[in-house]
Amino acid sequence: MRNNKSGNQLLMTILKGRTFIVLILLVIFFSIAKNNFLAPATITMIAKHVALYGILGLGMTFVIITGGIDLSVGSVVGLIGMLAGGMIQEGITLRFTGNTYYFSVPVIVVAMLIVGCLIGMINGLIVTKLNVAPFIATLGTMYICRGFANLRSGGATFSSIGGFEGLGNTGFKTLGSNIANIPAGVYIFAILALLSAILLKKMSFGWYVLAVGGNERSARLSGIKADKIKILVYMISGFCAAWVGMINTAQLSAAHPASGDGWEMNAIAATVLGGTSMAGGSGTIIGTIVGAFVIGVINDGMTMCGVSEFWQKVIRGMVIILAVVIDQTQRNLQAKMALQARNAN
Amino acid sequence: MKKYRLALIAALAALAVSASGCSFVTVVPIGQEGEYTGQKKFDSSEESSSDWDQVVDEITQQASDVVEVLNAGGAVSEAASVTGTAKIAAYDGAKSKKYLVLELDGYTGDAAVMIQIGGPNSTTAIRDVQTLKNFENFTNQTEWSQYAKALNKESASNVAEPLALDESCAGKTVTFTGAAVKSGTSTDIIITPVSLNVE
Repeated sequence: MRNNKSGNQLLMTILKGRTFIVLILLVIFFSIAKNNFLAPATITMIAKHVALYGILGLGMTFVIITGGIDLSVGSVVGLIGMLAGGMIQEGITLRFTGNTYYFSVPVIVVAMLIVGCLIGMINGLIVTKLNVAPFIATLGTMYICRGFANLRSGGATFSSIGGFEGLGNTGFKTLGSNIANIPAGVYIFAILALLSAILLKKMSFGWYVLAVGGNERSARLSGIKADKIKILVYMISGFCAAWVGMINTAQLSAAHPASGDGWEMNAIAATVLGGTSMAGGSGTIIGTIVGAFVIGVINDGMTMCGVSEFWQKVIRGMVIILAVVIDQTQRNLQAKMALQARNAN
Repeated sequence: MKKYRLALIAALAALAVSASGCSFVTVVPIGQEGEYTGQKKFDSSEESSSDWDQVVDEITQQASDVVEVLNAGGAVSEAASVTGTAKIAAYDGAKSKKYLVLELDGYTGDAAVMIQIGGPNSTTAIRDVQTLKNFENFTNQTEWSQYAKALNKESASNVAEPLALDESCAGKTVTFTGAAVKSGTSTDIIITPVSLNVE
């Protein structure tokens, strides 16, 4: 009986650290398969991608913990890129004033973050006030945002996102550059991850998010404004997507309306791999960070090994299913151990 | 209290941006943007109207007899410059697109051959047969597509519309030069004219 209990505890420990173990195994595997996998240039490239998936994953973590999902983040990435690129390259023309307005980069960054939050707020309002399932609501905004991204330029690319000295709107590319050999996106990811962790674990807002996801009815009965919390988590997701939209545009030195296509899946995968329950009520920021690293390492590792894009999709899908199955196993085991502990008492 | 806090944060953010030496906004009168950016906004109609005369000359010079081209299987997968004289079998103006349906002596094919004289023209035949400009002269696919539409508008406004053709032209003889191509999924051959004379 005691052997069985300690065996369960060992299995539990392994299951809890599964994503980190998988990450280490992946790094070892790809290092053997590709000699230059751990070269500084490769690590920088992976870090760039991890930062993008990771930032999206941070917002997604909050949303999924409340039992929701945000499919619009990839399209928001594309839309924000186009809006920022358009503001830099073409400015905003107001015919009734007879002028075109070119804004400085800090103003553009703040404006884009507000737009991201507003899109999130719309998602949240549709979910809470119109009682539309999060999957459908965000599927709708996903198409709307992608449509607007294309409409902004008629499907064309904004290629002059470096700005113009005479217009005082240079400096946007800094978001995509390296600072002390580390991509700027990684710094932003680190700051946002730290803030998210504090928000989720140390502030009452985080407890409300967990409570709403765990049992919404109980949360409401205990005085938590569940609708407000849900709207706020979608706003956080939109805020994170706005950052990714700007960083990605700066990294590419161009804004293209198709940018971010399908990235919501990477964000969801990073979140689920990190142990956030799709049923809501539990999840951690550190888990999502490790999940983002796993997705980044899998994607870039497979590309470096010459695995076709088609097979990459198959493998990514299998990894996600496996992660959910293991998550379910862990929950069952936890329930079993709790039952055993109760019987022992 | 919350409102004051938000206002304070906004004011501090504005102060920080000002202190960094950045101006919030640069105002440029409409039309003078190019002086700052060095970029000129693409205007498809300006582009097509300046090119039109040269395009007409080129298509007129390289045009082959329409019957020979069609009997040889031309103007199906690729546009071709054609010229010829034919009887107008019918005036097709029932829909938004207006056509002259041609009766071509010596044509052995089954496809209907028509000259488009009005309405939205979605073919790209004129753009595709001219060599004055190619895709490389444009920034992207959208501009390239807009250029094709603008050339079709030049055809409509310079060639077909001044003739004000209607049902009464059926049975008359038309002499034409233009760019021909198969129309989308149908088997019809559509000619977009660069010159047209009905007698």
